[in-house]
Amino acid sequence: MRLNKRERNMAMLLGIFLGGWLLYTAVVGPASARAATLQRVIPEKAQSLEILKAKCNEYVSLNNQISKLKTKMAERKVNFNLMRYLEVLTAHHNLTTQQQKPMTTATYPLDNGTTWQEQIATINFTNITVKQMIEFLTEVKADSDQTNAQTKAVQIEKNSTTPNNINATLQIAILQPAR
Amino acid sequence: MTKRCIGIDITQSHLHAVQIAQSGKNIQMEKSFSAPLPNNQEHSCQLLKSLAGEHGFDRRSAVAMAIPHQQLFFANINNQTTSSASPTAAREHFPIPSADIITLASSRHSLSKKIESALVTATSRKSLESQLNLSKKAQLKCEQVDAPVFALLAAIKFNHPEISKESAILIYTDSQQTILAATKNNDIRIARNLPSPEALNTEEKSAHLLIREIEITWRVAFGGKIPENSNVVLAGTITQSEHLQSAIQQELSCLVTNADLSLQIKTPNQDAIPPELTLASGLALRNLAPNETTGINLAKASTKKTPKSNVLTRQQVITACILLAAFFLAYTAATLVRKARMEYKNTQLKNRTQQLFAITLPNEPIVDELSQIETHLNAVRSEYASLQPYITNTEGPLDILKVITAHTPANLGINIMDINITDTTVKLTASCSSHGTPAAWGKILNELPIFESVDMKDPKRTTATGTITFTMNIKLKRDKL
Repeated sequence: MRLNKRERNMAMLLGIFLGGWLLYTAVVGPASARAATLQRVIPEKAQSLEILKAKCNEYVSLNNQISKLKTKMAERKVNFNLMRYLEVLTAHHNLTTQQQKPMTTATYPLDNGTTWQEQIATINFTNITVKQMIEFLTEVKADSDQTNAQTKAVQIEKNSTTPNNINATLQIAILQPAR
Repeated sequence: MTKRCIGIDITQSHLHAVQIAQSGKNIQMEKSFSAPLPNNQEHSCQLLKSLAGEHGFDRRSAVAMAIPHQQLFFANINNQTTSSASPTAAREHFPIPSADIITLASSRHSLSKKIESALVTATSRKSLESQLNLSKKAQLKCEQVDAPVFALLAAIKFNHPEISKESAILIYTDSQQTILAATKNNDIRIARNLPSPEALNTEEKSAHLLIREIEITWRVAFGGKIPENSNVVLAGTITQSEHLQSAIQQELSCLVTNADLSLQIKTPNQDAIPPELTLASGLALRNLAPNETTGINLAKASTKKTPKSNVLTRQQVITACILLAAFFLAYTAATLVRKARMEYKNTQLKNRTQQLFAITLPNEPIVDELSQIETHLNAVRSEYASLQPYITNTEGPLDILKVITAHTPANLGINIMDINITDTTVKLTASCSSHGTPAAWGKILNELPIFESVDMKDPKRTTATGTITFTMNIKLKRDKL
């Protein structure tokens, strides 16, 4: 089949148009759509990454502190007895305790679940001076690196018979793995 | 009514002018003028001006001029070689830039039922404007710009009507050129431009050359060999060469006729019209009887807006296509590069997210990083919150007691009766002697950074002792996760 010049030109133009249309449909259009999607998604992903970084840092920091505590707990004497420790300390400071209920102990699970529990010892001192109480608590605090014992609460009231002395109820707690 | 026209034939060496008046069928040459033409346009202009001034030509008469034959191009175009036989379509057939070309078709005739042929005349706009400017400078009213070959046909048609109807060869010569044309039915089929026979050295050589060109012209125009007794009409200076005439007659066995303008055109003194005035007379006749003669009017064509200006040239179309293609390719490349860059950035973000998650939670399979870390973080926060007293060195009851004691000024006379300190609160009962004392003390404690709030309740005066007893609730500041 012989084509004249005009027909050849028309065929060439049609070919170019079809080629261009195919190129646009197969390559340019999808690429353009993908680029538009990425332009929307990338800032969102960058923002998510920043949030993730902050959360990861916080997670790692908290986890490290908890791990340190666990290590510290592991280093504590295995057969440490809080009651015994407090009795020794009370005797050492020559403190008088309530006759009826000198010292009690109880164990409470922590809020977060089953991993940890607290053993809280309650000591009722009567007719002691403020100085004696402070010395007692200072020693508890000083020993806390080894014992991990913490003063949970202090309740003080004036002794009714000796106005310069006080009656104090102290709560000393240690942390234990839950059984 | 008498119509007048001045025909001006400007050759390379001479200027010929005639003024012809037509009144009904009566045609009269009123004025004629011939002069050598200096090679100076200013002088040509002066010479043209002198026609009306010194030589008595009528200034109001229309003027017909011719483009020099050597500045014209002729081509037989039919609708097989181009899409149509129009002059616009035939522009590619001439050696003149398309921006400068003027084309006009004439002498249309059918070759077959579907094929039509036309003689297309082309010249450059510059040549035409040169002629028009010349007449304008000479203050002449140029109405007609024609080709010399059509002027020749007009002159022969008027004086030898019987010849112009048949197939014939027309030959016009002057000192510079030879115009050779094949005619049939008052139409020019082929027009050619040859050197003047006078330019050749010998008459034999001139005759031989001319005979050969006549044969070629006939063959191209009508096909085959020139038949015996065909008409060959001679005009111009060739009519004065008996040798050439006899050579043509003998070699070709043709009927050779010398054009005689005096047959139909009368002169004032009944003199014979000189042969060099043939073209000038033909130009005037073309203008006086445009419908009875065949030809073109380039003066009108020059005033028409050429279709070229409205139609994109091939080069412009190609340039536009190339620019369009370049733009499309550049757009495609830019889109692909942009997409590639964004894909790279997206992959980097994804990798960094996964790496960070893998470092933080090594054994966790990745599903949704942010949701997973949020879940784990909430669990560890809860655990940390309950373990916080054992982890951080927050102020314990002993420290709080010391702070309260240290910030209880002696001059206020406050007597703390009982105090209860827990992890988060302090509740105390105290007494003092002044009503303003509890508020002042509360203000001091409230300014301490470890206390979040200090509330005072029930300040009551004891009637017996006169002291004021009050209760204070203090909330400790603890870091909240």
